[in-house]
Amino acid sequence: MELLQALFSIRIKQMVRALQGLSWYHIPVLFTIAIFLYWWLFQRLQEDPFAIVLVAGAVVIMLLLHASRSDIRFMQHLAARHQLIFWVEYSLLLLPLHLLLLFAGQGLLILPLEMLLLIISHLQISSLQKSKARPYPFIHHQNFEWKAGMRKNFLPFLLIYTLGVALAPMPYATLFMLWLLLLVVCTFLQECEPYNLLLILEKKPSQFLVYKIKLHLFQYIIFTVPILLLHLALQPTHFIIILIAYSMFLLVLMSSVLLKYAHYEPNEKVSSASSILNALNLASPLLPFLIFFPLISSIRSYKQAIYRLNPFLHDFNS
Amino acid sequence: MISIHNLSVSFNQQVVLKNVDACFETGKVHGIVGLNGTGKTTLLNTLFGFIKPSTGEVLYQGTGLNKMHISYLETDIFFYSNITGQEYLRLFRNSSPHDYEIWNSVFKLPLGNLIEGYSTGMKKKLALLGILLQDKPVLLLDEPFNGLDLESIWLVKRIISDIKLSKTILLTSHIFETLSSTCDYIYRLGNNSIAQTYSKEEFGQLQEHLYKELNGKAGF
Repeated sequence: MELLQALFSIRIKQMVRALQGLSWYHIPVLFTIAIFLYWWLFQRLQEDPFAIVLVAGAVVIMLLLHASRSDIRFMQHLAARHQLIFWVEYSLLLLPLHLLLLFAGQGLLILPLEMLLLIISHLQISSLQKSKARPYPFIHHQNFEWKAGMRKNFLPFLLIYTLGVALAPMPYATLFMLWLLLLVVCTFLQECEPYNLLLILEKKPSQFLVYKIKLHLFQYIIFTVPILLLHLALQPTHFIIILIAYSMFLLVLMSSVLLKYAHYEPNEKVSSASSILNALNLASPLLPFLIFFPLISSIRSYKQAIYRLNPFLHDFNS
Repeated sequence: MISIHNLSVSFNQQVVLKNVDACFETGKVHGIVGLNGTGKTTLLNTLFGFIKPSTGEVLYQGTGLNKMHISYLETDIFFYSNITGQEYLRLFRNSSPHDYEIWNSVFKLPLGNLIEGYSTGMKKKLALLGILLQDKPVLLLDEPFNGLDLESIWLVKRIISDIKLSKTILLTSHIFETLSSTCDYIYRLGNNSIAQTYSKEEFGQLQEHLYKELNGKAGF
């Protein structure tokens, strides 16, 4: 119990630190967005299929979070029943969703959600993958983020990809899976590379950013175009909406790449503040009131990224 | 040739390097030696462009030295997580598997494995392999022998001596023996500047001086 208390006090401090990293005007914006989101979800949760999709989405996000944890071994040493700690952590993280389900009369879904969280907290995904280095010849050799990311998130990626294909006959279900794939891909951008990997390309900041954006968009398109085409073939009446949503996903990915370099710190994870902005970025295709967020964020981040990269790459300006 | 003219570097109004003048000839290995805190790494960081000097200039073949000319091996090496040695080496421009396989026949690194599993020495060798693949004319090597076993130290010394003809190599080391057997010239840093330059014949003199300096510092 003491250990749990200590860990949660650390988590609260981490959250406070993350919020402190944001500019003052982000706080009211975030607060307003959170209220809107809650209200919007509450309205939509009256429909059964949406409640199930929302719970499934939350489970996938927790699975990704669990797969990307680097403290599993540490926790194993710290506590004999570390899975229990993970379970409580994930349940607390999803507390707003639990409350929402309860208020919206979908309380029955809490039980399967908790069961799935319990299973996730017992998975040892990262240690299984560390032991062998699977080659990924179909990923561009310069795209080390994807190679490393696929190694860490192969199972969730495969699961979502398969669901994307399997659900193609259902209207918009595949789009949701493509969005989940985007979510996975954006987690690949959570680690900043050592500065020598920036220099390798010998490009000036603007050229470097364009190159990185192209590289990530190309890779995402290569992976997702088969699902997209299948979905378009099976849902020809919705093709305009599907294409608009897909274009938005590409814009979100571009914005994520720019956000990473706007807050670039060699050898560090991206800052918590940047992660929060990226979360808004990712939520934008689902929330109509955030529709312009990726575009605004891209413009802002591009300028910041040029400024941030300049000390490392200014020699290539000529 | 690298020429340094009147180079001064300060941090928070504290002078680290003051009015440094030096010429580092191409085709030679130049060692930088000095007690802790004398500015060895600061000098390399300034040459690489990480630190902006308060005065002075650094030229390479008559034009400003910049990152296009230099490969820099830092003391602490970082790698992106969850990639293999092979994937790391493929990132270097124009590097084909053929290029790094030739070098790796000497280094014998398990390139198909994740870098996280490498020992400190293996990581150093991998970073060095990356530097060799870049084939730049200026190499800055900060403590290249740190963490290496005897065989690897010998290997790195061999490689430096094989490639030095077409390059300007600057290196630092805390181990005098590795410096004296690798370098053509050694520059002793002291009093915020290059206190003295020693050619191969004078290395014994330098060793004596360093021991005296250490004895004095330790109060013997």
